[in-house]
Amino acid sequence: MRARLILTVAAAVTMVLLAMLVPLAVLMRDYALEDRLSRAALEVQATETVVASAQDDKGTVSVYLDRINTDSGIDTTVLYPDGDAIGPDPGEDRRVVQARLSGLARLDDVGEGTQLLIPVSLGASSSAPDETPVIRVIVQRPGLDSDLVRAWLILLLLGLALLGGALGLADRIGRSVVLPIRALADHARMLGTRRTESGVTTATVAPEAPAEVHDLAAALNALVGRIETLIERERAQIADLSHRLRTPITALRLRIDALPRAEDRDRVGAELDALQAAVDAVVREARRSEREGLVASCDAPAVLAARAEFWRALADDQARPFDVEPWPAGESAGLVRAAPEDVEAVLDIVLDNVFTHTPDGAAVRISLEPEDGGVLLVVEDEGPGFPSGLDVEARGQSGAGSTGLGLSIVQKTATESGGGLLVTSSASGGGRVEVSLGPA
Amino acid sequence: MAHVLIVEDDARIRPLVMRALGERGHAVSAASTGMQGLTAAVEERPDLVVLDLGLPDVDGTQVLSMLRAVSDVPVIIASARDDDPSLVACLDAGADDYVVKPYTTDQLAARINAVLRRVQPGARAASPAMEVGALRIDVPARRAALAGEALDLSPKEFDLLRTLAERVGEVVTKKELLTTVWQQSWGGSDKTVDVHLSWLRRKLGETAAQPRYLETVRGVGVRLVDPDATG
Repeated sequence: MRARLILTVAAAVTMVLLAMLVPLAVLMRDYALEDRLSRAALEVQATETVVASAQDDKGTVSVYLDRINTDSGIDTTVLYPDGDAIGPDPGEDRRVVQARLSGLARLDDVGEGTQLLIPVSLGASSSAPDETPVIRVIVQRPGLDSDLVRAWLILLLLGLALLGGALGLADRIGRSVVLPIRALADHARMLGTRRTESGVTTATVAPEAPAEVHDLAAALNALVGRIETLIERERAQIADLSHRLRTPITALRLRIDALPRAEDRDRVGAELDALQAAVDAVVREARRSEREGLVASCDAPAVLAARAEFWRALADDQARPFDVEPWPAGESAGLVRAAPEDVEAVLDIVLDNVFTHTPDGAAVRISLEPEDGGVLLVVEDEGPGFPSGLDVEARGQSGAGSTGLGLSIVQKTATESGGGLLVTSSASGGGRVEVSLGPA
Repeated sequence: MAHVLIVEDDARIRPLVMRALGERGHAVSAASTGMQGLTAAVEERPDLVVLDLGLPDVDGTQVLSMLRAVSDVPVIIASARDDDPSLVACLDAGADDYVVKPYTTDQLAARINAVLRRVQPGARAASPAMEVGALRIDVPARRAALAGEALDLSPKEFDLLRTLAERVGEVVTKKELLTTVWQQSWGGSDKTVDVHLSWLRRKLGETAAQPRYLETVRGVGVRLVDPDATG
């Protein structure tokens, strides 16, 4: 936005300056030429007087011309009919001859400027036209070293200064608008990465920011407040849900404990265990938005690497080679769209499966790789591999063809982050689980 | 046995808990609201209070705070809230233990016995630390040390060690540990216990292959032993 504003101002000011300065420059040039012609006319009159009064005293004329032919852009030459010429550029041309013979002054444009030819009557009636000296004055067009060019340069510098000033002003105005908006955007981004209960959620805007930005901040604060209210309401509902579900289950469990026959207690208790596991999963899932805050986000490589190290202790106890290939050095942080607790749970579930279903000593390899801006977690083992026909989406079953709730939770976390889950076989024939977590 | 006061608003749970604890030899009284419970705790002077958090008149944490102002009776929180902030807030407010609904009769009874063993009525601060060989576990301070060196244990590792130390020499099953330490006898994974035991072993300076304090009984559970004890 700031760049666009500067570009717009640059274009507008440049057009205005061109519209003003170009005609002004042309006017100045015309004025300068006119000024020279006026001075030339005066010099012609003076020279005519000197030539007429000097008669044949060419020395006096020469002294006079030397004095006036300074570096003024006006060159005066007296061309005598006998071929003598006093002053610069002594040659004659057709126009000089015509002026002498006609006795009439003339004005012509020549290569270097404007040429005035004035025949001088010496006063004697016997003087024939062909004996008349001619004064030639060449008014040169202004050159690079002339005052006009200096004036043009000053005009150009003034234009550039005006342009620079306008751009500076536009930049300042742009900053006063853009910086508060950017701060507001940073705040909104921060809301997505911080838990609402851990930090300030109210956006503040610098007092000098435009009123519209203040309005935007107020709208954002209202939106955040609304979302927080909804999350708080959801939190209360989940607590109530947990209470409503767990209290009757507690009563049921206590009744089961009071059953006289042990086999009845075990059988009904096992069914209640399954029900309780399902209820826990429901409550945990209902708490997802509470865990995630406004927007779920975490540095998955850091979370997963720390969690892998947590499991290393058990791997060591079971004499399992436990290889963790870290996140590539130089890669930026792998922020993914999932809460750290859910990312931890992903690795916990996958490794729990590995440690449960593979023998002690079976190697485990964990790797973390960048993938489409997100993170690809790969866990391979040297166990017997997954059973054929595995359905990771099957819930609440734990037979040979299902992993129960575990991998379905992994799949849910992965797909909700924008990634996915792939269960295949490793090169050694063991299990290979690829969990793709989408970028935040 | 001990006099246990149950503060529980649910009319289905209250009589079941009373009967179950009564069958285990405790004298049990009950209250259905926070204020009734507070009054009973002051007037009846029970040996232990089992306090629900979701009470109809006053929240259980407020009841706990009020109770702590007038009495040092041991309190076990029994609640459906299983989130860490609630648990920590209750322990900070002076609760002695915490059991998450749905609990079993055995689980509640075990916790009551453990708390009663640790806490002598009227002399809470004097409760001795548990010692197993060179291992010393100070439960009230939640600190453990091995040969005088403080152990850096996570909360779960400490609870695991404490639970095993309360039954030195006995094999404790993983399901019992899940019930006691993780408050879940259902849906929990044995591997959760295993990985914490592995960390505990590391911090005790031993391995599964060369155990000293923590002995695994394959297929059954684990027990804490004094490695220097003879026989």
